[in-house]
Amino acid sequence: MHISGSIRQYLVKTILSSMLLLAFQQAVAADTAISAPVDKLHSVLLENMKQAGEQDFAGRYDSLEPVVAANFDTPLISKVILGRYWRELDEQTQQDFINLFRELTVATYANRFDSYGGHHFNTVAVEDLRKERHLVKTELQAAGEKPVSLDYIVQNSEDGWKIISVIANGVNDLSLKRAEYGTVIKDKGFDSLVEDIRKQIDSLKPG
Amino acid sequence: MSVSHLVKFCYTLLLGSVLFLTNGCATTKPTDEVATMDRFETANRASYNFTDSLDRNIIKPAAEAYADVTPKPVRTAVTNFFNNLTYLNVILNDFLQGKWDQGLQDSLRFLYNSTAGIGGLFDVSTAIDMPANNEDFGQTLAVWGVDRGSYLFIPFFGPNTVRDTTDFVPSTLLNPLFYASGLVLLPVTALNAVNTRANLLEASNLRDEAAIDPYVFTREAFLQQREYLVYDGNPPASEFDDIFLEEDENMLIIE
Repeated sequence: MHISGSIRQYLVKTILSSMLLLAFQQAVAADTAISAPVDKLHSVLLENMKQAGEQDFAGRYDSLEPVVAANFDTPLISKVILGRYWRELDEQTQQDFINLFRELTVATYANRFDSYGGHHFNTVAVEDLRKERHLVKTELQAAGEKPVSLDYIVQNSEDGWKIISVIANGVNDLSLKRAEYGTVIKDKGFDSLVEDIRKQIDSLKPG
Repeated sequence: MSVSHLVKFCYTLLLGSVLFLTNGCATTKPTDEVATMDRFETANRASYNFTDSLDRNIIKPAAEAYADVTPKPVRTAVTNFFNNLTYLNVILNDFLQGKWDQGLQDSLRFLYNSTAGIGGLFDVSTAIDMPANNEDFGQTLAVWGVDRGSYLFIPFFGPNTVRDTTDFVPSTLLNPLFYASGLVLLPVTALNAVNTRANLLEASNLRDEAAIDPYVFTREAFLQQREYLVYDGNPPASEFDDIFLEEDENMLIIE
C-alpha cells in the first residue's frame, strides 16, 4: 500500500512536470517562431557587419535581398504607408511600388549596417498585440555603448511570420514614412514620390 | 538678479505664455490629424527653412570643424559638463512626476558628478550604475495629463511642441549658467551650442540620407521620440499597432 502510494505520487509528479515542461517548450517554440523573421534578419546583418572589410555594398545588398524578400511583408507595408492613396493606384503601379520599396529597404540595411564594433543583438521580450500581431523587442548593443532599442511588429501570414513594422528607439518607421510620403503625394504627386525614392536609393549606394 | 537676467527671464515667461495662449485660443475644429498636430505648419516650415540654411552655412560647418580638431575625450568632458549643469531640472521633474527613488538617485548623481567628477567633467556616476535619466517639464505636464498641443519649430532651437516650450522656464532658472556674468556666458554658450550640434552630426546626416521631406521627417521623428521619453522608453505597444487599424477594418469589409 505504502509502495504503490509513492509510485502513484511519483507518477503524478512526473506527468505533471512533463506537462509543464511541454507547455513551456510549446510557449518557447511559439515565441521562437514569432521572432524567427527578426532572428534571420539580425543574423545576416551581423554577418555583414563582421565582414565589413571584405564585403562591399553590392555584396551586402545581395546577401540581404532574399532575407528581406522572405521575412518582410512588403506588400502590406506599402499598403499601410500609402494609406488612402493605395486604392487610387492600378495593380501594376502597386506592384512596382512594392518592388521599389523593397529595394529601398534592402539598400538602407546594406548602407547602415556596414561596420563592426563588437555588436550583438538581444531579444528582450515578445508581447501580444491585436489580431495575429506581436511586438518583438530587441536591442542592438555595441561594445561599451548604450544599447539601441529595435522593436519589430510581426504578423502571421499565409507563408509564415513576417515583419510588418520596425521601431528604432521609439521611432516607428512606418508612421514616419506614411506621414512623409503622404505629404509628398499631396504636394507634388505620386510620380514625384517614386522619383524621390529612386534618388534616395541611388544616394544609399556608394560612389 | 541683474537687469539682463530679468530681461531674459521675462522673455522666457512671455514666450511660454504667448505660446500657451495661442494654443488655448485656437478652438477651430481641425479637419484631420495633421492639421491638429501641426496647426502652424506654414510658419513652422518658414522657421525650419531659415534655421536649416543657417545650419548648413554656419553652424554645421563650425560643428564639423570643432569635431575634427577636438579629441573625443575632450568632447565627452564638454558634453558631460553641460549635461550636469542642466541636471537640477531633471531632479525637479523626477519629483514633480512622483518618481521619488529616481529623484533621490539623480540628486546623488548630480552631487557625485559635481564633486568626484570635477564639476561634472567626468560622468563617474554612470560607472557605478547611476545612469542619466531624461526628464523635463514638458514630460511632467504629459504625465499630469496635459495634451502636447501643436508642433512648433522654433528658429535656432528646433522642434518643439506648445506643451514642451514651458520647460524653458525651469530649465533656464535651474541652470547655474543663468546666474553667470555676461562676459563668461557668451563663449560658454557658444561652446555648448557647437558641442551640442557636433553631437547631433550623426543624427542629422542620417536624416539627410533617410528623409524625402526633411521637415515632415524631423517633425514625426521628434514627436515620436518625445512620446517615447514620456513613457521612459516603454510606450504602450498598442501605440505602434494603431496604424494597422484601418487595414483591419478593410479586412473585415472584405470578409
